[in-house]
Amino acid sequence: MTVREDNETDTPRSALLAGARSVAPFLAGTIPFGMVTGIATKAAGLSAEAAIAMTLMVFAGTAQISALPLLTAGAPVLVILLTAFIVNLRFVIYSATVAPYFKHLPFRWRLLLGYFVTDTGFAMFMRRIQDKPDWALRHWFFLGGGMILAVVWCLSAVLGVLAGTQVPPAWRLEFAATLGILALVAPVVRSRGEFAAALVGGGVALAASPMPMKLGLVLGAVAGIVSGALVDHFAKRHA
Amino acid sequence: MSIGGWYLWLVVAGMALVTIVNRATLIVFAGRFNLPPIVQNSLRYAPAAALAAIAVPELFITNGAIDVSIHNAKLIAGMVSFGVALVWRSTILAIVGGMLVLHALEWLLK
Repeated sequence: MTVREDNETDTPRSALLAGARSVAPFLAGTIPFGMVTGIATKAAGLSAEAAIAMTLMVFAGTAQISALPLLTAGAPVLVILLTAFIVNLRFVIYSATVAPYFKHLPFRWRLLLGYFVTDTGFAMFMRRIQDKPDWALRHWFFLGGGMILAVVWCLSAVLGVLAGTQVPPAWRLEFAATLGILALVAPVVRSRGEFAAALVGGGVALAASPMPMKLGLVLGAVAGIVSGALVDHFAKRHA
Repeated sequence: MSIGGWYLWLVVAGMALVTIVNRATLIVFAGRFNLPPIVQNSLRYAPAAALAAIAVPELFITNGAIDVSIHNAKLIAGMVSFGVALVWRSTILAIVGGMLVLHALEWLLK
């Protein structure tokens, strides 16, 4: 990371732009992921209008891709929402981590920043705040990163939905959503605890799949989280 | 096949709400309450657990039954795709590779 001159980031506008610049290299990942989400949403059987509305309103690719097989299977609304909640629990961690930096701001600002909590925006904000812990314009930096990610995400997903309308069902693109979920598992199984969480989560969900209303999924997720935490606990004790 | 009607809109509105609650609650109420460390620590495992819980049954179950055999093209394609994601860390490569394996296997096993 290059160290920028202070005078470059001392107005709200320049702080906003600095935030946008910080996330720019990661747009190379946002664009294809947005397009895959759009294509998969269309392939799951939604109309183009509904698929676009879903993407713009939910603004969370992982949750949306996770919901698609459940929507296709006609799972109960509560199970789908619970799944989205669990998949997005990482946002709670991000939110808890950045909250102390924004607690002096008015309510409207905090609500706005809350909407723009993203994986990349969070990572870049934490990197920058370590260099400048007392930076008064840090909320503009966070907003700039979040906004550019949101705009690019939505445009890519809309493009994906439109591309998806051209694809014949024989291509089996709905399976791309399942592969997309798997590809998201890969980078989050780096530690022993995370590996245990995925293994137990998947295993329990499979064993419990005859349960009604896709409840096996929720059971698997909870069992996985508990296993991850336990493995982590015992690994620390024996270290 | 098409999904629509009140069911879809309820899901979309609910997911939008659930996501904003996850994202914003702790920022909006900053300083008024904090998560206990044990909860924060456990939340780290939520993505791995939940994502695997969604994907694994999708791979193994064909026509309502668990199918662990060479004839389950989804399972093999999924395993190859996951391997690609682990080794090359590319989402796009993993998805495209998995789809190619799926179609190749279904063509071969036909």
